[in-house]
Amino acid sequence: MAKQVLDPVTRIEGHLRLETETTANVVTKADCKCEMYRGYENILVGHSPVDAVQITQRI
Amino acid sequence: MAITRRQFLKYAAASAAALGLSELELFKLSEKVMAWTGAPFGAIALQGQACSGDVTALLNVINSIAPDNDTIDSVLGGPPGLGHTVPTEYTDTVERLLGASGGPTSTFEDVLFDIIDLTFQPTACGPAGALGANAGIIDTMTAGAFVVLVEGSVPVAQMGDSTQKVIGEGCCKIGALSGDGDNPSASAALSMNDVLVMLSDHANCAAVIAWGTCAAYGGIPAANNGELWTDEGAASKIKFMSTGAKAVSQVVTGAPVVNVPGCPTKPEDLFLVVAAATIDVALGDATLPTLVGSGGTVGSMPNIDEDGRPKKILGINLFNDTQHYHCSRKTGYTTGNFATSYGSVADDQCLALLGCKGQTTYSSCQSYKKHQWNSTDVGDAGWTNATAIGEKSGKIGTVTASDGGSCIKNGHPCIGCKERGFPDRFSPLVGYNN
Repeated sequence: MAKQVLDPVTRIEGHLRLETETTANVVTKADCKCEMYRGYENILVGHSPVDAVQITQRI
Repeated sequence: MAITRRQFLKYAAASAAALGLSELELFKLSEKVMAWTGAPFGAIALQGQACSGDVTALLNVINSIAPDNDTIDSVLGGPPGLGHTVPTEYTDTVERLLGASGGPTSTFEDVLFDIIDLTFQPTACGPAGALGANAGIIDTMTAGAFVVLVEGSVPVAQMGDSTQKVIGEGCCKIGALSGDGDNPSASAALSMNDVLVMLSDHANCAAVIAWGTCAAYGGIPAANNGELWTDEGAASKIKFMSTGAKAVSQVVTGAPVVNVPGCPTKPEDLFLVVAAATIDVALGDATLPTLVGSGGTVGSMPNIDEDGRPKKILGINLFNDTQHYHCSRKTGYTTGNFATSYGSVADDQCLALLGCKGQTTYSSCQSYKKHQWNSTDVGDAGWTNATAIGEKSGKIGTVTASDGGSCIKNGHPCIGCKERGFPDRFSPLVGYNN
């Protein structure tokens, strides 16, 4: 059983890490990991509602 | 990679009108570029807590619409049969971008890629994984002088106690140097904070360019002031789980940092700052401070104001004047003709009563008559043959092609996206007149 990591995945928007496990060249496990967090829901708390459009469109 | 004067003039001439360069200014810039005999600067573009808006705005200028299959094959070298077709209303744009014969035409993007050697940009570059990280980042770092372009804010340090979820720099991992999953320490994901510090502390790092408002000042990820812990006890800790996002200038100590804010940054602003950072160009209108990288004197940087921004480059206003100073709607302001509600804004009406932040925002969005980042008027020909965003969307009013696109021109009040403190400082971002 071998494990592979592809990090970063490029030519996408954002950050992505792929982890796979293979047994005899067959993928037996695959994980996607998104390793960037900003907390937009938390950011909106306390802001005026009219800000929501301008803030969330920057996701 | 030397370029001839003829090449540079061809590259820059189309941009000159948009940038507002006079012939004399273009001559001065081209003289200095021709005098550059150094090797091209390496350039590494990193993304922290970013939305990729800045690179998207830049790529919109370089390559706005996906061309058709055959053009992809010949220009981008991609696999055949991608199934892209060019919508008919964009054929003009594609023609201008790609030229009649299908080969790419060039404007400042070729200068950008000839003077600097951009080896890594996660949204656009091909090499991924350990190959991309090593060839694009590590090898460039050790090969010679380089600049780092940073999009997005940088979360730092683990915050809180062990009973809380790990936040801080764990909120942004950007890659691993090895693809060997059987060796966890080698293939562990590196944090943005660690990679940025590694690069900027290296002797070869000439400058770090904070690309975009998030990189320059923290921006949206640092909204609510990035404050997590208050003295109000457990309730406040749960309510505001901030990631501790920081600006690049708060993280980098080993290289000069230049802020080029914008949400997104105007591609022209970035181009001028990169050119100024990487070649010895006499810029601005005063004696320039020469920034010293940790590896010695590298280049001359433009005048930097107290917010870390270059006010002008070669006399071109970047952050020297407010939106209001050059506003296309100023007659409305001076004659008292104010727009009072959305949806029925005439072109000559001032947007101040709708919460426009143009009087306190230093930006060049209103300075340039033509090419704007969110305009469909791209390419090196046909600056006068634009189809402005306003016309496409059928907005009320008569935005003309020569006006290009900008928020204010299209009837939306300025939200101050280029300023320190955005968005909190300008909240509520838009106003209502009742």
